[in-house]
Amino acid sequence: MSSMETRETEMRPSFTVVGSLIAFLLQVIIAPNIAILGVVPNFILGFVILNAMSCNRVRSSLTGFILGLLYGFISQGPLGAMSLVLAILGYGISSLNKELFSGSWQMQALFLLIAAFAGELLNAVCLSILGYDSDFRHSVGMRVVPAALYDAVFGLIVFLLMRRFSAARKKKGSDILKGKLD
Amino acid sequence: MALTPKKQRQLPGGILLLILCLLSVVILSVWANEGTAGPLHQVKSGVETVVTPLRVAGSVVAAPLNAANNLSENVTTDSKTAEELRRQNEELQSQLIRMEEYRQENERLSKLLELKEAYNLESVGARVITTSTDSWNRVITINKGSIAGLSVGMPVMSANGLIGQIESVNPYSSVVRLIVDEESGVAAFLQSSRAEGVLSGSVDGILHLNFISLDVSVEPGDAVITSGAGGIYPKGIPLGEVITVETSPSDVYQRITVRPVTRVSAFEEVLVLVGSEAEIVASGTSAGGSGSGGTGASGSGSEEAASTSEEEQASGAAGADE
Repeated sequence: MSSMETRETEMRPSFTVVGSLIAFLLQVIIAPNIAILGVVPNFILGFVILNAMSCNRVRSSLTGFILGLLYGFISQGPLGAMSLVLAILGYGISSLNKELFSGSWQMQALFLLIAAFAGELLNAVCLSILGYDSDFRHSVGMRVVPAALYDAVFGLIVFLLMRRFSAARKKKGSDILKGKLD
Repeated sequence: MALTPKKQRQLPGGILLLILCLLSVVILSVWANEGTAGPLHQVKSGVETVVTPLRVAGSVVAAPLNAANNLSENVTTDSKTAEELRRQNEELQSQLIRMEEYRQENERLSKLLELKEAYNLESVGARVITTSTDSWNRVITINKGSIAGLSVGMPVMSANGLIGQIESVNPYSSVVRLIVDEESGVAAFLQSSRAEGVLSGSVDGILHLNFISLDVSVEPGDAVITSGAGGIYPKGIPLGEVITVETSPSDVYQRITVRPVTRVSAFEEVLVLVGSEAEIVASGTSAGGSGSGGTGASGSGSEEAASTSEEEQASGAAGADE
């Protein structure tokens, strides 16, 4: 089953817009205050992954690009680097088989972790190419891995909440349908 | 006539991705090549101005969280006492460094009388609004900007010592790159031996004092202070103390790690030295220009800065409260 075939399970555009806004606000207001040993969670990256898991390639890459650009405006990194990373990441994840995301929560957690790691690593490579003065291997150990873990934890919480709400909504919908048929 | 489903016209994903990647590269290129007055930098400055109130709100929201964090750290002791003692310890350490500076000054300059104060720099107190929004930069945002007379490059101090330099300025806020950031470098010397080097930040938040040759005697606990070389930072401001010293025969220089004088989480108010860069350079030069006399002068400069700090911080905090 390709991503295009699962269009019926795709989230509504309002989910992307509202989710993007919340992720941006969380990044500005909350993220700096919950840093652990200098590692700041990237809510924006987490949302781009979640969004790409339930949207088509066009929306995923476009959301990644816009949110990456906003991230560039509020952070101290070079503007455009994160938009490049998130556009590629969004496109890549939405191109994957959607059945990957419908397994057990452990599988989803693993996928989120891998995706967050890929995003953070891609960002590290991008910064390294752009001349960020750092030992790359040290950066991977001290920044990429802890940040990916941090992002994945928040991503998983939101993902499980989304699944719960989605299941509750489906149940409500089927109950209404059942009532009408009766 | 059979109805056919309406086809949605949409750009193919691959082509869109290619366009977005190209656009990102163009933005990156423009960003890197334009000056700070360029359009993208102006937009960023505008966004920073807009999100500053949100950041202030965030710091207010986070205050109870930070308090809870401190509480959990000091769970075995009376929290107020432990915090007070830690603060006192930091202040005493800083005073000790300054006193040592005075002692050395007296030794070297006992015959050079009429020592004048090297620094007469104005300073502005500011409150820390937030720390970095990403993992790659160790920066803080303070609640004073160009309207308060701040500009890029100004040194920023806590009550205990140097913490960084202003990197970008907006009308109502400024971003300070901390000395513990990997991109930072401060001309520094060891107080005991006067050996000069460059203090650099690292990914793990520990400072490294580089370019200290193998024949210089360095001991853990030695104070590291600004040398004034380069003209960015005034001379004699405490930076930290040596934690470890490693040498190997194959090395040209010693590997010295330094603990910053202040923890990032420990400062809420800071002091920005707003004297013009020329003034700072002049002060630094005059301090260094009188040979060894500069150190003592800088010591008094630090003292003055510290004394001004308290007044300014009070006014700065008041400003923040307003």
